[in-house]
Amino acid sequence: MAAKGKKSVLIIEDEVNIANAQRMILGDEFNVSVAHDGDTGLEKIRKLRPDLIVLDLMLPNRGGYDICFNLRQDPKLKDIKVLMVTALNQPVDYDKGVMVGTDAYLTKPFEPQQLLSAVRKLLS
Amino acid sequence: MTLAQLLHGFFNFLGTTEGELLKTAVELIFFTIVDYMIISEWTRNRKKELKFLIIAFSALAVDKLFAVYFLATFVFANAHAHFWTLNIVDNFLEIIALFLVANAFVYPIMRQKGLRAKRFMADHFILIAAVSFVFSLFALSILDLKGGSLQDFWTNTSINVAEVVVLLYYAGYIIVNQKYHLKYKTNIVAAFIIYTLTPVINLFNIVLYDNMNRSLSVAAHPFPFISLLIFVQVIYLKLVDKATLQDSLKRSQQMYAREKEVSKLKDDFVSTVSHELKTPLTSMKLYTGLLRDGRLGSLTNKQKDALKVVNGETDRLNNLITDLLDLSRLESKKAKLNLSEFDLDEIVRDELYLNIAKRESIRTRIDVPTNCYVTADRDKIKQVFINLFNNAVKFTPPKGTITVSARLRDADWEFAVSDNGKGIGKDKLPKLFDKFFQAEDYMTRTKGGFGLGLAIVKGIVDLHKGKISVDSEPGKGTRFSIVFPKMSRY
Repeated sequence: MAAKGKKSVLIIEDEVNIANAQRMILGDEFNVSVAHDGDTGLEKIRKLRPDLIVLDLMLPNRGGYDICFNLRQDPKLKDIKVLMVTALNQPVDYDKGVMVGTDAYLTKPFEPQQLLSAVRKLLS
Repeated sequence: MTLAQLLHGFFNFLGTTEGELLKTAVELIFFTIVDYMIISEWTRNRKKELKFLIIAFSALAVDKLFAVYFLATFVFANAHAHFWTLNIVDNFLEIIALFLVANAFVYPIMRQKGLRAKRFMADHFILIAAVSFVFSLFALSILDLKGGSLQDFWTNTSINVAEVVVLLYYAGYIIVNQKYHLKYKTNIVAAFIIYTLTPVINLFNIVLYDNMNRSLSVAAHPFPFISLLIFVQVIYLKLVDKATLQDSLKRSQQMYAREKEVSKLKDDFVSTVSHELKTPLTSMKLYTGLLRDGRLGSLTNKQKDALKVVNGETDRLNNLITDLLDLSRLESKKAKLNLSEFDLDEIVRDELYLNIAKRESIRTRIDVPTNCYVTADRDKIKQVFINLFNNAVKFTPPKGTITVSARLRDADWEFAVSDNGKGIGKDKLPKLFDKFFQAEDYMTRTKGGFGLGLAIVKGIVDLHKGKISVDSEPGKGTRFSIVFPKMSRY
């Protein structure tokens, strides 16, 4: 199924509806996989080595900050782009994201186009 | 029997060996209890002062134990043979114990002066011994001149002299070192001086009456007991002090922990609500977006219009939730300012907002000097600007003008947003910053809003210890102005 030349994106999002919408938005341009909780997410990152992760912050069993921090510590995974997507909109939340090494930050709710252009920009 | 007779009888009894035994036994019990109290405190809190007090009061207790033993053998077994030896041991122990107690009580002064206890005690012991020796020789010469009895001189008279020297010396030491903090200073000095009365009276008895005046020897008895009671009281107060202090400390710690928990709960609550409310909104926005963009099949124009309404309302709901959460954060005790120095000019020239006015054909005049540096919470001040600006846009007719101005004064900076819209009635002004208040006749139905924007502005201004005021004249326009303290004294 994986078309050659397409970059791969892993969506880690516990809300199935949001994850499905994100898959629809990004599916045409990228190879998309989905994980619904933190641990599965980290496992899939190690297995699939995606080019970018669309990362929710409030996740079951392992939060987004934790995943991003782990990623940046691992020399094999540290170049994966991270786009944090969250309902937390305080400057302090954003600062925390920068601290653990996210590449970009998108606040919920957002338009489909916003997600698409953010991902395109990071992968260009 | 009158009271005087009763008292006389009691003192007479105290003057006898049996009376002495009773008194000493009571003292022994007292010291044992006090020692126990200090030791139990010491096991919890190993302070050097307590260790000192333990040694001193143990010495007193041992002294009294000896005295009880020696008086008891004297009373019950007629042990005359040991009288002299035991008397020496008792007197010697008493003077050592008094020395230790005196040192224990002045220990806080030693600490504050930065003196080492052992060195302090050694120095003062030598000094006191020398002074006592000189005074003893003086007493000896007087007795010799008078032809008085010199029997027991070194075991009794000189001990009395030494007691006077020790007690007065330490009382004087405390008085001279007034400036150092010593709790219950007065009580301790009083106890020392009262105790001194006994050896003083004894010396009078020895020097003037050859130790034969019975009234004087009876009169000498109660004072050590009184001063020992004061010592016990001071120790008790010290321990109680410590206990109440620890109690209040514990209580305040518990309260702090509880407050922290409550504020964490509230914080968690805001985060959870934020997450729970925004998650369905995100789904709604994404799916309406997908539908509108034709990603799920093509739509008729009417369907597209309907979706536009849904999308607009979703945004409105999102704004309401964001405002409510912001307000809740501002109102929580945890609201903090993230201070930095920034140029106000940068904030007010944000194209994003100025374009909103342009779309409504409203002119914007910005009267903010460049390099208008202020120290404040950048994000929050930006929100103040956005809220006031949006408010002005809402109530300014097309072709109207919004003026944003700022200026620095000596200690403050002032920031103002004014419009030439309809204005607000005087009766509405005081309620303008209340949550959910809407100036209905000022606001037409087509204008959105929940009455939270100005409440948020007020919250942010209050957090900066600033002042907000509004001037409005119906038909002419409204001007909101805010004065902030310039420096970061929030």
